[in-house]
Amino acid sequence: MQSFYKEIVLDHFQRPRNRRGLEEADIEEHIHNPLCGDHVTVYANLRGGTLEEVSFTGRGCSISQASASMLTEQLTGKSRDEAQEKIEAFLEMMRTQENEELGELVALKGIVQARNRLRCATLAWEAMRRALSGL
Amino acid sequence: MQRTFDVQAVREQFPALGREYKGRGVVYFDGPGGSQVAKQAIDAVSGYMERGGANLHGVFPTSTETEEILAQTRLAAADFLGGAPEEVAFGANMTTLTFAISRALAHEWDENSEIVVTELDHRANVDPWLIAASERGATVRWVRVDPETLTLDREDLERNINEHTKLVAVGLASNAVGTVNDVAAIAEKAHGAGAIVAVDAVHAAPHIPIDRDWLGADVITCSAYKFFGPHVGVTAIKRDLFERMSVYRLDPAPDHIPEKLETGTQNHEGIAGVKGALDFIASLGEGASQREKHISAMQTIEEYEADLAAKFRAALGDLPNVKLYAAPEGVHKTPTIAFRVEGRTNEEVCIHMLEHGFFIAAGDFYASTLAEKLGISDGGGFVRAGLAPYNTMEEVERFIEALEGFVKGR
Repeated sequence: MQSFYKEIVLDHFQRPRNRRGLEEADIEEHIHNPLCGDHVTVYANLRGGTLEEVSFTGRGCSISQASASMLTEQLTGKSRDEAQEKIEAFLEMMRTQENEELGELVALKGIVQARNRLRCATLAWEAMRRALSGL
Repeated sequence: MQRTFDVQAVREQFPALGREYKGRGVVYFDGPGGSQVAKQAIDAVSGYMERGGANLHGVFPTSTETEEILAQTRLAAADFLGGAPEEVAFGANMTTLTFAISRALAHEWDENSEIVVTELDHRANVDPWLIAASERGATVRWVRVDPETLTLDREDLERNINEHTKLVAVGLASNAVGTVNDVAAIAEKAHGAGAIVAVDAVHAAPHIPIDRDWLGADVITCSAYKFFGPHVGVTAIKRDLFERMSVYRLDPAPDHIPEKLETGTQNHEGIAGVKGALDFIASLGEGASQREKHISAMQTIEEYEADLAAKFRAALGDLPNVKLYAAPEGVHKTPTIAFRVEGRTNEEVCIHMLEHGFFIAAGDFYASTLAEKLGISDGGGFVRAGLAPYNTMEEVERFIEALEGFVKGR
């Protein structure tokens, strides 16, 4: 199972989805974890109440960048409420235990065993949470 | 907002990164021992020799060109360290330069003099001063390093500096554990007592922007082979001090700054290479002047390396049986990471990592007082992973994975 999780994460790291900056986006939130060296900026537009063109830029470890890539797929087409719900569920899982309802995001929980790496996996999600709560 | 740092473009400037070991690309984590050399530096060395070299003071082109290269490198080094070109002198390496400088400065010392050295420093910024002090009958005072925080004990430093202090020798950054010292504050205290401040910037130079006068250094010395150039030492000495320094020199040799310190014919091709290395660094920065470019380049490098080092230290902290030697969060550090693996020798660690393509060294790295103090001298000191701007996050992650396999017996 562990190697299956690892494959999912590596795939997102090596072939990141929606990795691009978005000019004049409704949402643009940069976050940096100096203790771990990861940078992520998340972008999105709000069209008719749903999140569109969710994307990211950044640099850092495979976990931080793969997690941002997964976020863009998971949140595209979601309403603000749905997105916030999903973010909370993901952060809750990372704090506690695997939640099968979250699909491939479980892979992140699966491979992040160490406390110091937790923040790598949650970085993009925290950025989006902050952006959505400020809208 | 993050700055852009194109690590792939940087990597293309280092031919040695194309080397393989047992079929896989080499990862150089031995930068603190000596970095790989930038293409511009290599070309400058070979270009000098191919065009034809000569000694100085001739009327013919190879001689005048050599003088011009020395002058230009002095200017570039002054822009790199902060200072004027005529304050910059070259030598074999930092150790050799420090022996020459210490013998000269010691002419002003006697039995009532005191000097201050630190337990954190590389012995190149300790022993030349100790020997000179011993020859003049001067007293040596050691500043304590706190073995818990791997930082200098500031109270102890304050206690050790007094009106008899002639010299305070301190490193800008520890070559073993990466702690960056607050040299500006130390220099202020030293100058208050009328002492000269000699700063060893060998380990710091490839990692952080340097401004000699902001640091309050009267003498600041580094070595180009740590910052992508060839094996040449460089020092920048404040003019007033440099002019009054009575150096050991040959009678027919120049008696003016900076040449009076440059004993014998210099390593001309190496000095040409230093210019190449400094031009490479400047090319990574932005600004109207070379000085601005150097500072901006070093800020960019520092920021990039800090992210790699943060990941490295955080991940090492998670591994069982790995003891990390690093100053606490919030203390400024270079991306030089010292550790040991419990129950394994340092050599075993280095050999295991070599099998995964990592070139990594172990030892006390001449920071032998620190190693003794930490009780690891007999155990062979530290394993030292030193990052450079040509290293990548992917290499850091692969290192951690390979080390994890080792400590977990996989």
